[in-house]
Amino acid sequence: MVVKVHENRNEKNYILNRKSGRSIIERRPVFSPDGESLVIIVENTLRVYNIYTGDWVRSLETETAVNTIIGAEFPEHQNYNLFGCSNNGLLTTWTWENGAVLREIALQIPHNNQVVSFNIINESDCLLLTAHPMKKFLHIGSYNLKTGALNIEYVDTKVPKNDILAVSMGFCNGEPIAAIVSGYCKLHVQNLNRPEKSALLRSKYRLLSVSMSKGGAIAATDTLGRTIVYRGNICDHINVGSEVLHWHALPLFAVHFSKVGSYILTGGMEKVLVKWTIGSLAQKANEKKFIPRLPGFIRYITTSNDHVAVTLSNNSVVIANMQLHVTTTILECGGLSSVTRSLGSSLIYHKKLSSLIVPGRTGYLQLFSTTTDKVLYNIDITEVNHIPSERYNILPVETEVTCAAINASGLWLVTSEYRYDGTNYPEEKLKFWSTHYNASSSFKLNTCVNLSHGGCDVVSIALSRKGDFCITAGNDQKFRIWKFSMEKGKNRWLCLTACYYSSGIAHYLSNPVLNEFKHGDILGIGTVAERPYLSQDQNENDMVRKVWNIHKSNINDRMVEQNSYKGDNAMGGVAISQDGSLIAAWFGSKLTLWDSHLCNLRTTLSHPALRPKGREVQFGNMDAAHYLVCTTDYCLAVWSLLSLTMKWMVQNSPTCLVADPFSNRMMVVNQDNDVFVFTPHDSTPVLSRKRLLDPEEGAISQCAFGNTTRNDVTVYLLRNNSELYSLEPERSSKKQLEAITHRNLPASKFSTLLAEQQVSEVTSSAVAEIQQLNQESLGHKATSLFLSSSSYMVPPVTSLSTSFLELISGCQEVEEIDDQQPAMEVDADTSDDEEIPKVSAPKPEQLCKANYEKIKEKKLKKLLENQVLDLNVTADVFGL
Amino acid sequence: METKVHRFRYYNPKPESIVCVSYNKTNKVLALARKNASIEIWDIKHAPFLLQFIPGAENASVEALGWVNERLLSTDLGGALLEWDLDKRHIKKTVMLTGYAAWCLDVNDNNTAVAVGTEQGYVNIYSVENDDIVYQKLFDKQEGRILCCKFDKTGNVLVTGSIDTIRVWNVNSGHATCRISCKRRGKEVIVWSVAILSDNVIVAGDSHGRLSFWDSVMGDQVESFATQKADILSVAISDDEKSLYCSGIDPIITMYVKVDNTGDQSGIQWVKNIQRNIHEHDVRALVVSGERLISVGADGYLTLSSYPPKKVMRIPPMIPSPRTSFCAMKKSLLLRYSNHLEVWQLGSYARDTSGKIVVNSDIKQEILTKKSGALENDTTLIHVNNHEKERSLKVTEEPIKLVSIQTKSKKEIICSEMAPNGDLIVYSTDSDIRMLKLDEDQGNISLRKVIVSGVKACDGIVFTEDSSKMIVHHNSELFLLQVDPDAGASVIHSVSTVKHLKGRPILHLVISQKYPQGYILAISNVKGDISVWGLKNKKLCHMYNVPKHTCVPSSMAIIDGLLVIVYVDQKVIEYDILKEAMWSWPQHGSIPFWTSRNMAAKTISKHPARNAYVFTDEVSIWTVEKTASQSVEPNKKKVPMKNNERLGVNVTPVKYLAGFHWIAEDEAVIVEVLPENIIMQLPPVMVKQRHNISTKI
Repeated sequence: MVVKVHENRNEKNYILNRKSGRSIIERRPVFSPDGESLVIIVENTLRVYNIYTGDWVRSLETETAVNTIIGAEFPEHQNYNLFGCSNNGLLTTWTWENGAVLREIALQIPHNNQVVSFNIINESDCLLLTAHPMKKFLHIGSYNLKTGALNIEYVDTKVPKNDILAVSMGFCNGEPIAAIVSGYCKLHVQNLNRPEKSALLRSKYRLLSVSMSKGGAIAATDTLGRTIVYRGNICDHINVGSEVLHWHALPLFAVHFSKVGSYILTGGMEKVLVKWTIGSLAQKANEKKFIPRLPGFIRYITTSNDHVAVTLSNNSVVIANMQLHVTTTILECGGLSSVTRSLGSSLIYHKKLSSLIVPGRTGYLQLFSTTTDKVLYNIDITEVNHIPSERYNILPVETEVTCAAINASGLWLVTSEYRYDGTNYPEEKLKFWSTHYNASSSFKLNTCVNLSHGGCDVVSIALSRKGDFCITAGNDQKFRIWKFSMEKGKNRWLCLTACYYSSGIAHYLSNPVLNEFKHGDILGIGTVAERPYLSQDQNENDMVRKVWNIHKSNINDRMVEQNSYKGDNAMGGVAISQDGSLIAAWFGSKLTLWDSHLCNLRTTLSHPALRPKGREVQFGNMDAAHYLVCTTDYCLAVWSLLSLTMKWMVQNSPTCLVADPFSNRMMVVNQDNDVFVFTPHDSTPVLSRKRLLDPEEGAISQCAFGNTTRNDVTVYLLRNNSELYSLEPERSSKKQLEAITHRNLPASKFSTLLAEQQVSEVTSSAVAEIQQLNQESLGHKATSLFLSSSSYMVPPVTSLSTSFLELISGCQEVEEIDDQQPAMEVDADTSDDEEIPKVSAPKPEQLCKANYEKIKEKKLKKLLENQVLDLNVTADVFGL
Repeated sequence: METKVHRFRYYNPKPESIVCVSYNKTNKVLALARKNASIEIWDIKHAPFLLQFIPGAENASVEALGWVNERLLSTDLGGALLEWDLDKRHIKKTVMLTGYAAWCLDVNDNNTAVAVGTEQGYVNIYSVENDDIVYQKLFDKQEGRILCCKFDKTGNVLVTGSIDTIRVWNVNSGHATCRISCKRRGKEVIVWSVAILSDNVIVAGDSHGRLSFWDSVMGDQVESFATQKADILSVAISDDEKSLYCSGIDPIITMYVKVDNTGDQSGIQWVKNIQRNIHEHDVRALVVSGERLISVGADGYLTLSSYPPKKVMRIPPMIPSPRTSFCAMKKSLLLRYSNHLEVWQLGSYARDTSGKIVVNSDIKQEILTKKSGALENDTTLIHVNNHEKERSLKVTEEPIKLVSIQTKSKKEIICSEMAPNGDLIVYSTDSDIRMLKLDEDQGNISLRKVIVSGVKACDGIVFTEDSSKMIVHHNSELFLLQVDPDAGASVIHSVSTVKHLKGRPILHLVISQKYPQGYILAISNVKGDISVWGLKNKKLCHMYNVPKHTCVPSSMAIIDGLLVIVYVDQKVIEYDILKEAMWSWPQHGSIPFWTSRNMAAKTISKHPARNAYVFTDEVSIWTVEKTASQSVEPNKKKVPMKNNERLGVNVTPVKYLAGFHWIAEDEAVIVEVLPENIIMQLPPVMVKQRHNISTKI
């Protein structure tokens, strides 16, 4: 079969948007001088957030394009200007008043060096730490802010290069002092006026963070969880008092003195912010205050006079007042644990809520509104406390959400969670959540099933279109059918049956993990064995650095486990046909079809090309309901349910396959981050984008269809670094306008309101879209009825009336126009405002003009041809 | 050749907690009083060494101690100020105080006046000039007992602490110049400890665990720290007044330092520095001696620590040595307790049919698991040990207690000895000397009193080799007694030592083996004088005095015609008795690692099988080859070699060694007091909450 590839056939200009999920926690944020806003460094821009509302007010950008901004600071006596430094040494000065770039100077950093830290010493100088890729130690120098010239080089202070680096400035005996730690057992103190004057304090444990008060006290934190406060003339090493504050038990990543220096705030892996009272506040001496149960590890702490901002590893910034009451949370999409990131939980578009359900931090899903581009809230799926880390077990295995699925109408959300630490019996729960649109929390737990698959994790979940039954496939090589029905006066989800594929040999629980020996020893509790990570940097697999980079690390043991061989009949994806009468499930390389009412095996589809293991399977929707699309590690194949033959197949190593429940379109993403939107009818993609994102930087792991219209599709893509992208048809250039308005600080409170109205304009345009859809969604009642019924229930082609055949064949030719017919069921499900006036097509001339015989012959020919698959030909269908 | 060692672990005298200390800065002598009212005087100039021991009495107490030059004063709950005669070990002078029980005492820096605070709130000032105690003044009565008092540097100002208040007194007028109320939110605050700095800042530790700094002129609080979780009982200030230590019922010792960030006077500030976790029980007193901090408390340990670098040295609470005597013939062991004696028969080990010793095959590996928040361990020197592994022998017979002897009217024993034949046991309290005959008749043990005539009491006893004669020392007199188990012991000769030994209490009394010329005795006193005496023809005659060293000998022994003396500064002297020649040992080079020793050697003995000396102290046994010791000091930078054979030094750590005796050429007995057994007998400690620690420890 040869398929002609049409380039840009019927394609609009689709643009790729970075929706959300950028890391806002990479650098330390800065409070504005008035303490009203917080400046967060996001890659190459500075975002200004209001600390009371948590809204992104405006963003500051550099004039010259830069990769990343390393640091931003307000000089103490010149705080109407904001200074920021990029990684290549470009110093940008913004006026804080209106956010305009005042000046841009290239600091004369040594050749090939990259800036790793930026601190302002006084009005005229700044301290830069720069790293050379080939050198072991950092270059430390002070630079003039006006000319960019290198003033002083501090050659005596040798700071080793490391991911963990903290620099803090202060004064001692009236002279500026910098304290530097870089994750080793050393604290470097450098007098900035006199380069020859420096001190090196050694510690038994690795120091991770440092902060200096104006009074010259230095607080350093170590891997043991201690905060050591050095006071006195530290440069001269005489009479230095070192006070130890020890509450934390795990590596402490952040420490910060309050503005005046009478409080120290510390935080780290415990997810607890501690405020220590130090200094001579007699009434409160040694008092501690806490913010417990923060959602992530603390990375940075920043304070203003009355607020404290805590940067957390779950990609959020929590702002609390000095009494440690949390006032605002700035939440960005992402913040997944590395396990979730490697497992790749699901990305789902919830049409009713017009938002995406994206994976969140451990045990949570996030609801991300696509209209406002904000994280609405977190959905607590596991509803358990996080497992606290211990010194012997820094990163405990936690219960993670492994799978999630909703039905087409969005009425039910089904999630699965799993925890297996290799010691205890696996924990596994299947939860069914019902959607409530008017309640404070949209999702209400209806049924929770413990060990739904006997301790094996669920690999795939599928819900029927109506949401009346559900299938879950587990690693126990079974899939279970769940039905929503009445039990004891309550509506619950009940397991109907478990189905498995047997090759005739006795079935046994093939997952060996459950039979392994379990020991009841509590490992290491109460003993202080010298954990090597406490005092040594273990280069490759250093735990402390791993935790520090946990928001971007991907490697995980679980990942390896997931890819390991699970047997010939390991389950892959499952799917339910549009009418709910048929279930498709992967058992190893065998794609099986089951009757959902009788719960028996109907047929097995197999093909040598589908070895070794199937991954995903989707039924076509609407007019493609008689097609079954499946993916393996290497190819994408489409089966026709009418003939039980493979219709076409493409080898393009797909990673993700989704079907749009409201149209016949499907989307597949492959390992090179190519995105194809296609219909099962044809191997020619409707929309294709090659190398949408650089695969080196991160693979697209999940995708979902957003709001689709007859012509346009909106596609959401989730990269494995939890960044969310959208592929949307190009719109007017109002974005540009928005950018301009964002640039300037609103002149009055009223203009702030105006800006919000612009956001609402976006939604109104969405309404217009729907109207467009309504007009164009023409459907022939009979055709749609015919098409929406189960494919295998359709009478043989030959017995169909010619008019129908004519109609189908006609549709085939102009599928873009005619196939887009919303099914009746969809109409019933959708809300009232989407009532579509049914237009009675087909036009009579269509029927008259057709040449039956010719078309029939053509169809049969095509069917015959399809049976013979030529891989070589199909391989380059998508231009591979 | 391996030595078979009996580790005897049945000696567990009750540890007595230390109540108070006083440190004499001029001659670096520390006086400490224990709960049973016994007073110990330690020389801490070099390795800490117990110089003198004054036994306590029943129902007596010592609440505070003070040095006036060389004179020792104490107060008690009976309301008296006592001066002690250190030579004779008894009270020299008693002065009754106004206001009942006396809680505290302080001597001013000029050693002219002593202030005593009493129960009823009177401060008594006594002049202590001219070797006398004269009533001088009584301050205005104040409310409540006075728990602590301190003179300032000049001696014109006295600070007292009592319940809820700190008062500053003018010593000359006797009136309070300032009253500081430390009451907090209506809660009672007991000021346990005060100190005054030269810049007129008062440092006070109170029952809420707060360390507060006050201006003594204005009475304002300068700073306050609440770092201790319970009462601060003691505050100690370093000599340069740049650091101070405090501790108490919460036994963590917290160090504060004075820092200066800005350079001018206003920037001076006291800040918390390191914390030391040395004690598990209440710390009652702290003393700063130069670089070292001495801390004592309810655990009875005398603990010396220093920072930087962090070092800890603990001297366990033990009966003053000699604590044990041993009869090799009968394998019987005499153990001395504070007011009773025990005689034990050692056990024996199994031999197989061929006469070989049965060694237990399963070697118990002691697993050292450090508990979180555990105490700092003793700083030990390099582990020098030739043995790869210690093997345990199969024990067939457990040691058995033969007899227990209570002293007369439960007085404390000053010295005790067992005759070399194992039959006679002699002990002396401060008033009585008793001799007992141990009879064994077919397994039945009976004791018979043997009359001792001619001497009332003694502080040193030795027997001659044949057990026929006994030499005792009492009040600068040596008595030679002829001992006959049936007829009793009677003085046949006595001689005064006053001429030859200036200080009266003796430290050591040792006797040689029998030489053709007779016996040789060596006596040393607390001043460091050593005199050598001969015993010939039932006569004691002074031979000569050994040249005096700057410090006291910690141990002496006469071995092969040589008088071997170890001084507290770790110097070893060999003195040829006949030739009257002396040299420091080893003559060439030095003993490896010897200088890093920090404990005073308690005994010296000759290795019966090898040409080596065996030194013991409370934590280790050092076997030093006489021949190989010429080897040069190993390069310190090198890692200590696994095989120290070449060095000729073998250090065996023992925790804690109470006695060491040779039985035969390859057999020895170690009387061990395990730290666990000491801790077991101590009162319970303050409960601390710890995260994630299992309670079964």
